[in-house]
Amino acid sequence: MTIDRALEIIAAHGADARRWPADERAAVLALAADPQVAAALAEARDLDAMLADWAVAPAMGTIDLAAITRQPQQQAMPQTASRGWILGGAMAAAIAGVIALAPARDTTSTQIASISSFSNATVPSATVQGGPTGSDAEAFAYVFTPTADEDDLI
Amino acid sequence: MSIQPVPPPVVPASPLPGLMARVTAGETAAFNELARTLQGPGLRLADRTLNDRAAAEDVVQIALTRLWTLADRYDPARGSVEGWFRRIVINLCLDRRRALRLVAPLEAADHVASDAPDPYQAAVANDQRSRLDAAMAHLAARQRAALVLFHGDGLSMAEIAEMLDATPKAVEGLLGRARMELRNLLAVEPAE
Repeated sequence: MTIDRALEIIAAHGADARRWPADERAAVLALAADPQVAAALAEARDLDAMLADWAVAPAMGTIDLAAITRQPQQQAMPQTASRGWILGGAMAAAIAGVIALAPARDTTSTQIASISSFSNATVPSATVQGGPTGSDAEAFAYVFTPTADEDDLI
Repeated sequence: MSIQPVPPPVVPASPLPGLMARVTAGETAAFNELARTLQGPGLRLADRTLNDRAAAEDVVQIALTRLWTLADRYDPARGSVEGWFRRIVINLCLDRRRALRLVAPLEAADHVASDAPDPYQAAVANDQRSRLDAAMAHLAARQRAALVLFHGDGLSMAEIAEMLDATPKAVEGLLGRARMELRNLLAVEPAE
């Protein structure tokens, strides 16, 4: 326990040792005779008293309970079937959307993931030249190892 | 002569879980009883956090409405009714933090009349309280919330952290800065 930590605890928790962290209480108390710690404790006591009065003083107010109970109570959605179907449907719709919006492959040149806005993605991981009829390069393009940015996109 | 061990004091079980179960079943009488128990502490928490009595009333009205309309979302396994309600109030207060009134100058609290029996003592207490209220207006809502939860409700750092979606260490820092700001604000002599 350092003096600084003791001062930090007193600054946040106040002067009442019962409110200090249990595992540090004894160590702070052992430093109580230190002039800096003693001064901090005295100062914290005054503020503690003011804050206790401030925090517990009752607050007045009018609440219209009848207006509340006139409202219908809401029933939570069952946890099992409904939510499962909604989540499943949303996921299926998302997958269908991705497939429908995917661009058709170029017949002469296929470039995978060349996105200029990514600083380190200017070099594509694979480029395929030639027709779509099935070359070794095209086969390779389907089993490429993605770059970090491509990985993020996936 | 043998010494009989003193049995521990019997702490009566809180009636709130039972009331909450009846509220969930739609019993308005149970809701009224529960609301009467919760509205005082709720108003105090909202009033201190927002530093605005009218806004505090609005917050507690909304919080109790949620307690009624969304009663079946309460899960006793996740905490007490009071804790659940306190969290609703805190969330509503912090959501309103942008709509807070402009802070009053600290000097505005210098001269406050009092009708208490001992005019001098009452004036001193009233002046101190008014200066503290004015100083509080300079703090952030989260700082005031942490102060009232710590000094008013006696919650631990971990419990406050859960209310404020923070870590206990962050709450310690929040309280430390709040208390330091208050000390500095209260140390400023009022303008003559």
